[in-house]
Amino acid sequence: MASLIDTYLDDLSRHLSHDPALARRMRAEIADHFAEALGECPSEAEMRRIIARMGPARAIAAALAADGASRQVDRTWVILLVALIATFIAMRLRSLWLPPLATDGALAGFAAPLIDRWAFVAAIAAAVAGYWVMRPSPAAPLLALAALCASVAAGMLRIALAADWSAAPLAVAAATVGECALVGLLLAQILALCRRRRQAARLSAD
Amino acid sequence: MLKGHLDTIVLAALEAGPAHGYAVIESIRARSGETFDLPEGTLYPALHRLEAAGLLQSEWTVPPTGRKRRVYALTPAGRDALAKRRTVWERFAHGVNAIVGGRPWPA
Repeated sequence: MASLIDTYLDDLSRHLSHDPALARRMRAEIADHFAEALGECPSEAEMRRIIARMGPARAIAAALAADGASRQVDRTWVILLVALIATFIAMRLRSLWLPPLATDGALAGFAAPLIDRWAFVAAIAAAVAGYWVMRPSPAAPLLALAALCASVAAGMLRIALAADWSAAPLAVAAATVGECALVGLLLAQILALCRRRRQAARLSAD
Repeated sequence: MLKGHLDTIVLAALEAGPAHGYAVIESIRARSGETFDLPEGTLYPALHRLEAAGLLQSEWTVPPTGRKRRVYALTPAGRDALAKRRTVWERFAHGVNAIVGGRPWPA
């Protein structure tokens, strides 16, 4: 008889297998709920009734996955904002501390500061437009990430052209390392967002 | 319609003190005069969502019955959120009553 409850709990654990800690927690909580509602030695009819009241395990997992995806959207946008601020600070430090680049025929020397600046502007534009138009989608953070990568790469090239890495002022090097780390963190958040959206969509599908 | 207010209802159900999931459902059912007979599976994602938002805190406890259970309680932020949601709800309910119930506004 207990197998009806066990089957339900196994089903719930299977649907939440993408998040083992959450699966364990929900299983324990809902097992306690069933135990409280059923008392000792319930009949099969009672178990069926209480399972029906609980609703499909997949629906519980889908609701949890949707909430998880929603929280991941918030995290991704917060990290994007922090990455934009860090990139801006690093860019300003490069402009303030690094000597002007030679533009006599060196295309890279001419292009690097332009790319550094305008890729950052493109990242801001993608972030602002994406936040208002398609906030839950990873598309805008991805576009902003691509632009930030271009800005960071151009910034590093700018440092390399102005001086070798060991000669760069510590603040400039530290800010550049910081923006690289945040861009990496942003990439991880976007990947997590894509994964969570896929899980939520899979569980919500008929 | 209930779904849109579920979080507020859960916060209100926990206002009296900490409780586990089954007790929250029983409290909602009893306090609503059995008007709100929630699909019980909707409660646990709501509890988890409210905890993630910092409005609830929870911990595993082992009562004398010996069965481990997770008990939820309002956080200070949860109490503030409930007070704000209650104010909004009272205005909303007055408005709806004035229209649907034919009472003048403001009541």
